[in-house]
Amino acid sequence: MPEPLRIVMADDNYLVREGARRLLEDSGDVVVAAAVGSAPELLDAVERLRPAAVLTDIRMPASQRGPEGRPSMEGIEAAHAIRSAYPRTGVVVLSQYADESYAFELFRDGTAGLAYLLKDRIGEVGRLLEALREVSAGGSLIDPQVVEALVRGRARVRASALRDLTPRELDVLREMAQGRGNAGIAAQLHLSESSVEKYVNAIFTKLSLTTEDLSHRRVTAVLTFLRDAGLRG
Amino acid sequence: MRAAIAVLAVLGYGALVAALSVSLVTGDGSEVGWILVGPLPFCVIGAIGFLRRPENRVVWWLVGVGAAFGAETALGDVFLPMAERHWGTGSSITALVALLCQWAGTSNEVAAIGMIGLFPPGRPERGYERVVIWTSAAAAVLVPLLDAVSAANIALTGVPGQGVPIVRSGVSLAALAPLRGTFVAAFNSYPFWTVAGVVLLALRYWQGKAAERRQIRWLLIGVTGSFSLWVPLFLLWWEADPASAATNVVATVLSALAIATALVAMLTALFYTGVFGIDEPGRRALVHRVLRVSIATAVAIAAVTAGLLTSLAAPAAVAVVVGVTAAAGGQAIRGRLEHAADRWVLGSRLAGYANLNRFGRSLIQPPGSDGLLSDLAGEVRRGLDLTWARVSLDAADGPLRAVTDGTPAGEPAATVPIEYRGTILGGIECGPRSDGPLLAEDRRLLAYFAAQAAVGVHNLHLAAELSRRIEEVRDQAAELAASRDRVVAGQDAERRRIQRILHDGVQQEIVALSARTGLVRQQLLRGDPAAAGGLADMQRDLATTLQDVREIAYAIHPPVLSDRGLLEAIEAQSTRLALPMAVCADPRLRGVRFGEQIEVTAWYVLSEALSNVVKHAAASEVEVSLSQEDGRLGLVIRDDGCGFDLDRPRGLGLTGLSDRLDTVGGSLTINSATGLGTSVCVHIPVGRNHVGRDQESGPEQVAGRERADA
Repeated sequence: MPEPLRIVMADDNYLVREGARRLLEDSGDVVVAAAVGSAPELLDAVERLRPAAVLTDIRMPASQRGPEGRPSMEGIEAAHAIRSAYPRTGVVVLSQYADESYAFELFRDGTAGLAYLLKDRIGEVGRLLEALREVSAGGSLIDPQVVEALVRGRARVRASALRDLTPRELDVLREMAQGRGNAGIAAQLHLSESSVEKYVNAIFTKLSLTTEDLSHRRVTAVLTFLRDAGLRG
Repeated sequence: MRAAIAVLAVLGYGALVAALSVSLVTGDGSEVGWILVGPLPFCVIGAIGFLRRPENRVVWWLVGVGAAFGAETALGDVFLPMAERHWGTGSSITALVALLCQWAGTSNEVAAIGMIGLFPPGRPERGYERVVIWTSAAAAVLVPLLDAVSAANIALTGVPGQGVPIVRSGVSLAALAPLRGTFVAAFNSYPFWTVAGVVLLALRYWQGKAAERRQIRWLLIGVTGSFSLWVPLFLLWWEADPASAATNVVATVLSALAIATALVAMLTALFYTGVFGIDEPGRRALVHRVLRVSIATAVAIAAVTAGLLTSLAAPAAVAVVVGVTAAAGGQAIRGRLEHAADRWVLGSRLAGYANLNRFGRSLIQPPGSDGLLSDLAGEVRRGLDLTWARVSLDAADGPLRAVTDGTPAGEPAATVPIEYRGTILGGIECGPRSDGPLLAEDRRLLAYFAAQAAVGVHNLHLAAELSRRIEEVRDQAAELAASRDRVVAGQDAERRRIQRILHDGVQQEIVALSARTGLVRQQLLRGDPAAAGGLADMQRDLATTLQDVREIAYAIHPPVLSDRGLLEAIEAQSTRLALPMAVCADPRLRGVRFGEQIEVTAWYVLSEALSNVVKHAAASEVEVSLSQEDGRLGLVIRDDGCGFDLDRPRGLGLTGLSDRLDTVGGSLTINSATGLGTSVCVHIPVGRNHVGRDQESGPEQVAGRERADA
């Protein structure tokens, strides 16, 4: 049994905040050091408590920032602030928006220690715990729904290099994009790690990407490719 | 005076007609011819002039000339020979006829002096004129008498040797015999008395101003010309051999020319007094035509005369050559003369149509401008030669404007309304002509002017109206575009509001439920008994969430509004509102359906107003009334809250309501004052026919719905 993760939670909706807190604490894998309702409170709590990871809502209008009526991204800004001030604290951003642009905004300066999950996952405690552990270890994770939307959208573009990938290679690409390492992909797809490695090399060759050992840089490369593939098409 | 003239005319004309009849009966062709070309034209011109202008003194004199000429001709040429044949030259009846003939002759001269010498007023204005007129009148009466009492025979002038009878006087007195020569000479000179008239006219011309000179000029030239023909004619009659054919030919030609010239001169004079013409151009055109005819006649007569005169002294062939040469030369001279006449008479050619054209051109100006009015007034005055003219027009905007050309004196001689299909657009008023009262032709032309002006002004009004309407439409279009933009902005704001409600409310509730589900699942996996309580909580929260979703949907569009109608929706709202809400409405409005657009708009305004009441008014009660009158749906939301200052700038909310109402042609009135509550009144046109149709089909529809509900 590993040491429970110390985390800080932020959500402006009390019901959501309390529901998630109870769920996570009930799992026994997490200790919620603080649950707050706004971005300033979150930054304050992180400074005081130095948690291993943070779970925050993307939108917290209580802070009264952002123009009226426009989706605000207080959560993303807080994530960037935390990541630059406390590199040992990972941040999981929960979002209502499946749009890729929010994810790319989060990964603006790199994917290390950051995760972008849809709020729908809040009931799937395993997925939440996985993301928290990943970011606390400096890894990254993207909600498979966002990746799926990206891959599906880009693969439809006629000139896209994604059309050259076999279905199996596409599966591996999806897993890569979600931030999984070779071992994780092998476990997820029930393959041997060496097979995964072969697939990864094939994908990188087909997409003209350079092979990267570090998984978070690999994620960045894949995500950047996916984002720009549509434009090249 | 007019009656006296008429009597004189009847006598003279009667004598002439009688003479003509007798001549026709006796078959005296030459006499008939003479009557037709000699006195008759004067009579006819005089008669026409008198009928047209009974007040014109020149015409009176002319009637006198014609009557006396006619009487002289009748007495001298027809009745005297008849009397002579009947009673003999010694008879006193014959002598009386001769005396009357003489009086007619001298009267003719007096009338001619009056007509020519006193032209154009027709009455003596200076002392010497009076002297001349009265002297000549006295001489006209006395000279024949003195002649008769001093001489044995009555001195009858005429063409010697043409059968003028020698009539014994019968009343001659031997004592006066020595004076006989003087009196006879005085009488014989009478055809030249008219010269006195010409002299008077010349004096008038000499003394007159430019305008009077223009009037006199033609007559002066005419009568001078005529006399320059009469003198050689008389010399010929007295001195030449009466038996000579040449004498006769020349005499005939000269007398014809002399009479024609005299006639033309008189006609011209009459035109210048305005007896015949309606305007200057018309007068000029007629003068021009008469001149051309006269020139042609004169040239022809000259050519024939030349030929005839040559034939008296030279062989026939030479005469023919001379005649032809004269005729050919005459054509060239005629061309020159006509050209000169054209330039002289028609220096600036203007016709009646030209006047109308100029008048019409003046109308192509914006209405109401003083330039237009003064142009029109000027054209009317110049065109009809009026003393003054005033044109007033109803400018498309503003009061009636009038401009007068000339100086008005006294009552207007004519007033013509400028009228288009019963609408008075203005009027033309004018004084008399500068040469006399208005003629029927003048009034007709005035009416034409007015009709033309009416159409023109009406068109200008239409044009002005059109540009005003276009301006209005443009403004409305701009306002519509602005309103549409505001409506779109309002819709966008509403969408964002709904998005926020869903996102921040229901969506979060569901997320929280999702977390709770995860928790319960873990508890169940562990066999934790707390799971049952967690599930019960979740069920309760799900019911709350469902209620929230229902409320949101209701706020967006209440189903009762589309299913049942506006009144029912309002009544339903009263049970949901946090405040006591009273509904006042005509029960007949129950079940009445208006257009969807109208119902939704009314509902939108109602819910906005109610939300304002709840948020801002601090009211204890709100009253909503619904009515329908005069094809308008009325909705009033009145509260007893704190009210607000109407002078404060309107917020976006109220403008949004106005714009929303604009889309259905409705209007918004707000009454409020601090501390006195607020009432929001809305009127939306629904149209009678629309309601009627709804009422007719209403029960059926309602019944159908009730069945559906059941």
